[in-house]
Amino acid sequence: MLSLSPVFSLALALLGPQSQAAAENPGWGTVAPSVAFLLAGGTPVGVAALLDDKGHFLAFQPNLGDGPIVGRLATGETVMLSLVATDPQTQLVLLLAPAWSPGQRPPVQVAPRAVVGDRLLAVTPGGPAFGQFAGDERLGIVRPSLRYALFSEVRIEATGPLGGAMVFDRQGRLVAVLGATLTPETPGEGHERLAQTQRLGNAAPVAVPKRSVPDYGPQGMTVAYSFSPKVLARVVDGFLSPTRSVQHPTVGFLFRAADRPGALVEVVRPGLPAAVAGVLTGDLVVKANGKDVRSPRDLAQVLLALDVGDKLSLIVVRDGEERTLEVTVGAQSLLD
Amino acid sequence: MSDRLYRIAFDDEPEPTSGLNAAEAQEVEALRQLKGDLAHLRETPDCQLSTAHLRNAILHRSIRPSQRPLTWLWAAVPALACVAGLAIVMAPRPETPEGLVAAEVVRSAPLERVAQATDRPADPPPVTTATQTPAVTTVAPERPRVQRRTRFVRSAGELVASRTDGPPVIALTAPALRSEATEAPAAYADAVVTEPEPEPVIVVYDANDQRTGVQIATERPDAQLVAGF
Repeated sequence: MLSLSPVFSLALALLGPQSQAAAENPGWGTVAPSVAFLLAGGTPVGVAALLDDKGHFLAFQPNLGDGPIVGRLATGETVMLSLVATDPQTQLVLLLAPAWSPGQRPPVQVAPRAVVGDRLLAVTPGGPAFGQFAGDERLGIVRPSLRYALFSEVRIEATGPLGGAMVFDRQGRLVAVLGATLTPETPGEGHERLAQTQRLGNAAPVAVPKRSVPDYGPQGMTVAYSFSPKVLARVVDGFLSPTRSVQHPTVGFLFRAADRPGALVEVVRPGLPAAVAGVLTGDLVVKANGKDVRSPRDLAQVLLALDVGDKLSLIVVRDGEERTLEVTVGAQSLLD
Repeated sequence: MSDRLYRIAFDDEPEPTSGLNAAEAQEVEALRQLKGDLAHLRETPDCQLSTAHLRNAILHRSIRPSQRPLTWLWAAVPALACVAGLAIVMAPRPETPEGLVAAEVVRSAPLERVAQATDRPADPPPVTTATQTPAVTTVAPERPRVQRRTRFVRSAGELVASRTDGPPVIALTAPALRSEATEAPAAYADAVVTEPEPEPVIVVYDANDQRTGVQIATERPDAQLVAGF
């Protein structure tokens, strides 16, 4: 058994870890000095990760109460935090500890990517817990904006409140900030069906006999989602930039499946890049940046690879004729 | 009296010196004629025609048809044919390669090493060209035989692949051949697997899960979703 560092031992005493085994993970010793637990009435309700030596923390907005933001470090020290910036798309916020003493703790780094199957350490309001990286760049939609996004899928060995749990890899790099959990159709069946669909590569909602997730963890795991590492890195870079703003790419149109191959444009938002380029409602997108578009998924995959300022070449069918439209990808802030 | 005439007719007893009356003489003559006919029967050896036993058997119990040796074996022929057929069907034979290889990407380590050493891909096997027009012939091409032991994948669900490892990979060890000799019969057209069913889209709702305190996410098929970028 590994010996526990004094800092970690103190964290255990303060927080009461959800998993003793997770707390004994050597990665926790790396992570513990760089996280703070957000308190509400003295109870941890969220987690914040140190981003730089100036006392900036990354946190999940829903965990913030109406009153002053109080954080408790692993050493037991309490710090007062203030809200600096918010990213509505991801609901991540930038906090600052004004009285921060530089050079005391190492800031966390965002992992460029994670490998499916990697064992992770999730820091939840209830303490550290084991996790596993289960899915990379899964296509998702965020309501109510109806915007496509790429998600990471993480299973964690915890069933309690997550509160924007921070997930780290073994090197102590930030992999995910858990902002959503899978809600199964039948209680207790969700993660099992998910495990089955993952194994089969076929996610049709079929009845699947209950089974334990192979080679990992006991019962009672939670399937949670985070924006992909690429998006997290974009947010952190934006927060730490002089403007403290995050620029998510956008073209400003909604689309859906059609009765033939392609993606049918449903809504074009006035003034945004798609409208400026001449995209109209009813256009059938059949090709994007040279790639065939046979479904909305195909088009979304092309769009999600774009960054602000990139060029998007669309071939649309309108009134039976093909037209080529050139779109310059704009920034999400145009929608705000 | 009758027996005495039989014995006389079959030379077992000499004719009486007093002679026979006309009726007796006529009957003896008929019996001798019968003896002559019996002598022509192939199955009755001459040495047995003079015995009383055989005579009684023939003349008093009628002539039975001769029994062919091993006649009962003919009845066993169909059964033996069935047994032979089953033996042929059940006999072990080399496995036919699977139509599709799924599950995980299987790499051949020796081949990879060769590829690295030579820095060029291995030469593909010769390919038969199906597009060549054959010489004029009046013989219809023989329909390829179907190996019934071959398992064809009949649904995308049989393609076992991990979505977390990327799209399913169909591993082929050689370029696919298209020719009369390699194409599956039309009856097996459904064996062709085009694409696996796409994984569902994660929809994150603007509502919190009571248990975890974070937003609710569900998995939905993407066919009817309206979303954008």
